Amino acid sequence: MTDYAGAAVPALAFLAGGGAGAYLVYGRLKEKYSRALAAVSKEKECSETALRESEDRYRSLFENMLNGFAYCRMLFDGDEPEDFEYLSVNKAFEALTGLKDVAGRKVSEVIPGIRESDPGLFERYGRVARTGKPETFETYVEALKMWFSISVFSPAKGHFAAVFDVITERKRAEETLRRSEAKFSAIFRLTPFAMSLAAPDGRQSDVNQAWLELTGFTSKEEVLGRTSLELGLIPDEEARERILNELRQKGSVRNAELGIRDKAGVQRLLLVSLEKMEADGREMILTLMQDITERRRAEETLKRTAADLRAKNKELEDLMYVASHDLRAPLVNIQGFADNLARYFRELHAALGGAVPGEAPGGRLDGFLNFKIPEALHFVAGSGARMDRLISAMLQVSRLGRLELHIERVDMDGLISDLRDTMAFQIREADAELRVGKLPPCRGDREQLSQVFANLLENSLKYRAPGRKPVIEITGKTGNGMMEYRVTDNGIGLTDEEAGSKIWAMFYRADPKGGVKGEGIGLTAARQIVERHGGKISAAGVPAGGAEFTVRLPC
Amino acid sequence: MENTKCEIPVTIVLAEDDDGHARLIAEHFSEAGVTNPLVRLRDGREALDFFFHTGAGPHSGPDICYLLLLDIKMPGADGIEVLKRLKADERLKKLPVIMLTTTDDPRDIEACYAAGCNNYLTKPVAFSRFAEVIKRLGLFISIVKVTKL
Repeated sequence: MTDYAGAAVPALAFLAGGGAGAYLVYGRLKEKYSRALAAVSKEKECSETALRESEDRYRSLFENMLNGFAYCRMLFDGDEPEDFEYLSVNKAFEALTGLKDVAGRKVSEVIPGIRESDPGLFERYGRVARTGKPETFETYVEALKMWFSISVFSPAKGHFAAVFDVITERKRAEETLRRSEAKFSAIFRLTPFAMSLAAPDGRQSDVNQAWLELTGFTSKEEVLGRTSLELGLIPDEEARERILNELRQKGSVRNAELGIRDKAGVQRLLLVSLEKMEADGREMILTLMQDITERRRAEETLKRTAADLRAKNKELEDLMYVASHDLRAPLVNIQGFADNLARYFRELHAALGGAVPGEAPGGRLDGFLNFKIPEALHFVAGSGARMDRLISAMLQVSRLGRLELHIERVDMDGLISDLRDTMAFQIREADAELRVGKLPPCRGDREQLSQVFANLLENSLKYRAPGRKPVIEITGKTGNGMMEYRVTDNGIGLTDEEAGSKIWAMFYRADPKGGVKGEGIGLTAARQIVERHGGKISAAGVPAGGAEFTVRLPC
Repeated sequence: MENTKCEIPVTIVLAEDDDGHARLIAEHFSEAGVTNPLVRLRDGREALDFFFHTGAGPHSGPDICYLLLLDIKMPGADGIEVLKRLKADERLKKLPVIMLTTTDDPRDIEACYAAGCNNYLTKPVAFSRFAEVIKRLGLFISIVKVTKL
């Protein structure tokens, strides 16, 4: 403890005044002071008491100060600092480092391996102890995993005193800040979004490359220190004021729309987001701008197209509705009066006994009575009936387009099984075999989907190949986020042309003269229903003979 | 306003712009044994004039019970408009109205019932079905409670 007081005085001075100048003064003072101390203790009783009181004050000060303090003697191996011995430490030393009872021990015992892990620290302490030049530095001590802020000086040759604070927390915070600043800076540079940093008065302090590209300015120099108004970027001053007001009130602005005029004078629509932030200790405004001119234009085009399409669709449906309605009215007459004519003629024919009075059989009028008139009536009635069926079919398709869809989860196994029951007669009549695999469920309007598969089944039954037992297979699987169902038959099959477009056209029938009944709207209706569900239907010929229909529906 | 029940046969008013349809309906009525007096009006305007006593054409008479067969698609005032006007009138809303149309479009049917029609018939094209519809109509006319206007 002999050197304690000797070290204390300059240490205190160092803390109070800091710097090399203070050290030099007190270094010299210390010499005199210790000598005086020795002399005075022997010479004057009263002085001795005063001195002890002063020493006690310093001791107390060192003991109780919040900084750690260690007074050590450097041990050299030649010129190389090899180890040091703790002569004295204060309470804070223990509290800060967690090292206990170190006085009188070597650091190599207290913290084994420190010389190898922290050679820099040894070097600095050694230098101070040797040269007497104080040093102040911040260092990470690997052996303790701690950051220190250290002031070290040498109260006596070969000795050093370190006053330190543990600054690990601060260093960590600084590191975090540094990293986050680096991150921010990288984002600022690399983001494809135009970004700018401006002072609260709107003067640009930094802009990124994307900002320059968006606004058309060629260099930062043109921009920095000026406001967007001065740069002529914002033609609508009110809009700018509105956004800045929102920023003042809420502290940030999200995706506000703002029209700008770029350097070339081209109007652009932006989405801007603003945020108050601190940069370099000042409050700044960070602005992020996204050019949505093209996007908005595309959206508007799309919206217009969709509206046009809806209108066209509606027009078409209305046309179909009106046409079928208005075509029916004359048809009622054609059919009604053809019926009347037929009845009148039958009566007339009976009354005449099948012969024209005064004309021999085989004459011209006999030909009318017995062949031409009945034939003409037959054609009129037959065509009228067919026209009626076609109009009904047209109406049916036009109605399908207006029917509301009741979307629900559809159990396809159940749906097909029900269909098999309702179509049992047709299946038996065609002597067909229906093979149904396990079908995944889908989402849709059950009734309408049932119509789709009924139409497909009917189709397969109708267009069976002569002399071949019809086999119809229905399978299903999940694919590409959609449910995929296949109806495959071994019937007369399809040409590519038919599969691609013909069969989907209204009133198309593969075999209009043959015995196949129907108006040719089954597949038209099926496609309409599937497409209204957001699905797809396609057809293909099977090489071995037959057709395959694929229905894709949302799940 | 007396609400007496009809003693004399109901007069059928047919508002129909298509001459052929009018003729067919009349013929089928007689074939179905419906012998009620029939008044033919040519469009919605004439029908409104008839019941509201406007214009120069024929008007409904007192002490006669009427039943209106109303075509939907007519030039000028169409059937649905006539129906709405009649049903909005305190006196005329008791008049039984049967709509006659060429289609069975659900939109039309809905609109007619919403406007308060008593029945709705589709004009069938085939004779046999037309005859059947008219027969049913005759039956309807014989049982419907028709009151004087």
